[in-house]
Amino acid sequence: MHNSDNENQTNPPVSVDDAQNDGLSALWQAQPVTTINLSEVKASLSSERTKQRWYMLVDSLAFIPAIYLLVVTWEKFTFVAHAMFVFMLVTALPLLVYQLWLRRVAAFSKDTQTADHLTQLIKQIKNNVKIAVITKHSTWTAVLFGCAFLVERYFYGELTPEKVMKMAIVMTSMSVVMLVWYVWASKRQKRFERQLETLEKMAQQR
Amino acid sequence: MIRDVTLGQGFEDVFAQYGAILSRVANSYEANEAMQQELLQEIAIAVWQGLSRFKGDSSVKTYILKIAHNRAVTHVANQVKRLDTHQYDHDDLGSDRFVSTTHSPEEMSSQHQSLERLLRAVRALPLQSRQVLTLSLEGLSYDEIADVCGLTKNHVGVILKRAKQSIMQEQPHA
Repeated sequence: MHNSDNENQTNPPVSVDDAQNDGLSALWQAQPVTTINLSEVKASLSSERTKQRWYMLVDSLAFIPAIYLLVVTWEKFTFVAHAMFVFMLVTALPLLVYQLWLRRVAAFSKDTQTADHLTQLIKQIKNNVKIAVITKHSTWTAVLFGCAFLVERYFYGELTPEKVMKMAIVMTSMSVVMLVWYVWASKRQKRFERQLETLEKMAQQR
Repeated sequence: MIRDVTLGQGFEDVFAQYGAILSRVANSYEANEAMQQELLQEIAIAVWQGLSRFKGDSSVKTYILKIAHNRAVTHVANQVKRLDTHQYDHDDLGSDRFVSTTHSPEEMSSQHQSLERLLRAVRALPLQSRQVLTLSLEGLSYDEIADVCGLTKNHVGVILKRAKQSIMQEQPHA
C-alpha cells in the first residue's frame, strides 16, 4: 500500500527558506501514501468514456421516436396539431443541444488554473441547476401538451370510444411517468443547489 | 505523442514518479482512507486524460498538480450528496498505515501525532490557502504556485505566510 517518493529525493524543495519550513515540508512528505492502481485507472477511464458516449447517444436518440411519429402520422392530424408538435420540437431542440454541450464539458477535465477551475465549476453547477429546473417544469408542460392534444382531437378528430379509451390510457401512463420524472428532477435540482452552496462557500473563503 | 510531451515518459513512468505527490493531494482533501483512495483514482484518471493535452509549457509536476487539485475540488463538490466527509475525521491515520523501519516506536508515535495534527490543520484551511501551502510543501517555487493557482507571485507570498502561521499554531514543534 505504501511507496516511497523517489521524486522528492532527487528534487529537494526550493521554495522553503528556513529550517521551520524544511521541518514542515519533511513532515508533510513523510505521510503514508497510497499506490495508484493503474489497471483500475485504465478500466475506469474506458468505462467513463463509454458511459458519457452512451449518455450523449441516448440524449440524441430521444428525439427520434417523436420525429418518427410526427412523420408517420402527419397526414392524420390537423393544422393545429401540426403546429403544436412543431412548437414542442423547436423549443426542445435547443435544450438538447445545451445538454449535449454540458455533457461534453463535464466529460473532459480541463487544465485550467485552480482559481479559474473553481469559477468554471460554479458556473457549470449553476447551469446544472437551470437544466434540472427546466427538466422539472418540462414534465407538467408535457402533460399539459398531452391534454391540449386530447382537446384538439376531441374537437377536430373523429374519435371512436376505442380511441378515447386508448388515449386515456396513454395520458394516464404519461402522467405517471412525468410525475416520477418531476420528482427525480426536483431531487437533482436540490442536490445541485447544495453543491453550489458548498462551492460558493469555498470561493468566499479565499 | 504522449512520449514527446512528457519528455520520454510513459503514463506508467509518470505515475511511478509522481504517484506519491498525487496521493498527498488526495490526503489534503479527504480524511477517510476509503475516500482518499477513491479520490486518488479520480485524480489518476484526470491526470491520464490531461497528459494527452500536455504541451510542455510547464514542468510535468506542475501540470499534473494543477489537474489533481482541480479534480479534488470537483470531487469535494460531488461529495455533497454523500455524508459530510468531515465525519470521518476520527479515522485520519490508522496505526497500520504509518510504517517506518528507521525510527523508534516513540519517535514514530510522536511523528504520527505531528502528522495527524498537520493534516487536520491543512484540511481546515480555506481552499486557496490549502492549495498554496500544499504546493509549497511539495517543493514548488512561488512562480510555479502562481502558475498553478492563477495568482500573482506577491499574492502567493501573502497567502503562504498566513497559511503557515495558521499551521504553526497547530504544529508548535515542527
